[in-house]
Amino acid sequence: MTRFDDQTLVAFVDGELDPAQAQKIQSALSHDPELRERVHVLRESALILRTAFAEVVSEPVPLRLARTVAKLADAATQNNVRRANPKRTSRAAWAGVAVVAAIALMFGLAGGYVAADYRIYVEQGRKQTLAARQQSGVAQLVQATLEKKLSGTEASWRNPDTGEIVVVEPIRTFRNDEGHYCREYREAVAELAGSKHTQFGMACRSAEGVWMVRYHLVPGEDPPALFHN
Amino acid sequence: MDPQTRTELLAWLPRLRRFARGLSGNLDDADDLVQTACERAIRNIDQWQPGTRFDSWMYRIIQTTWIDLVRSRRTREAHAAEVAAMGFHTSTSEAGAGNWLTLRSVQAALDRLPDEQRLVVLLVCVEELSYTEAAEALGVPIGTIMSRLSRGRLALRQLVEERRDNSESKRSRGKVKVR
Repeated sequence: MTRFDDQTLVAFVDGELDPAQAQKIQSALSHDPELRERVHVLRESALILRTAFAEVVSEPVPLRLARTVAKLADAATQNNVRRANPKRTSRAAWAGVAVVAAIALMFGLAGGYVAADYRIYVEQGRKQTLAARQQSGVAQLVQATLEKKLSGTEASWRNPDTGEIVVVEPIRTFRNDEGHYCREYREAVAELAGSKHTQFGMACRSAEGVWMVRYHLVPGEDPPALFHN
Repeated sequence: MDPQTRTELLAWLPRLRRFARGLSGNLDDADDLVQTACERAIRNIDQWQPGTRFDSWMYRIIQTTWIDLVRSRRTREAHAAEVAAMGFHTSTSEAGAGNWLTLRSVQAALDRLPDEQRLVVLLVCVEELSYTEAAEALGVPIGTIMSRLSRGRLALRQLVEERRDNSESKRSRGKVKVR
């Protein structure tokens, strides 16, 4: 029996092994319980990490941070423009600047550049607002559906901004070790173009009556074995 | 900085925060780290080569910024000592509070890894970079990525064992089994 070293198994689990070697491990898995266990543990520890950090990436970026970074980027843009100007030292260029400035003043466009930048800023802000609105819309739908709907019946919400329709359907209900009700559910987003994203989640009801999402799962990844005893 | 790069930078913020969170161990430090790294990135935007992955470049800046911060503040050592003093049982009992491992207990396990292993584990397992991309982001050969990663991953086996212990202790207490 071939003994695979840890580095090879890690690469196998990460899908980074060349196909020939991966095939060898794949076939060894069927008759080697010890190998199966090693692969299982490696795969599961990575899944635990990913799931634990999922909550960080799904929470909204603090406005303070987003604003600071946006301002820094904007300041850099303006500096670049300022830095670029002294290069235009030829008389013709200066004359050009003078003419543009005069025309700009005439038409009251002196703030044209600032206005353009402001538009970008507003656009960014609008996108963030839209994303936040989508998030809160879906969150409300999940709360209401898990609280009221029977398993197997779906509820939907249409995002007025994008026209997307989000569907939530509770699949299964159970009580966890603390005696709280938990529900697995399916969440699907149908875009206007017709494409559909489906993911699965599990949420448990807190003592305060709030459904706390424990995990999200996108099909194609490992099953959330870690959440079931 | 052109508007497109600016938009891209802002769009990457959630993932940059996640990476920084894994490195620094708490969200406040992570946000400071992300902000400082973004400042550096914006200042040195000329060094980014269009066509290469923007996120890999950002991960690299976060990593170097973090190393600088650690060197100057040495908070890392203090924090690691604190975690070590808390002992392994703290995170075990915390994980036992629910039937899932909290971010904090996962973080505690990560904190026990040497820095260079933690970096690779976060990039590959959490940020889902390929080995090549991770090597590019950290500026090391791919073989180094593979050896650090496998050592780090083996050390994290305890996460799985920890959870298994939890569920076994629960079962032995005779509680209703889920499913």
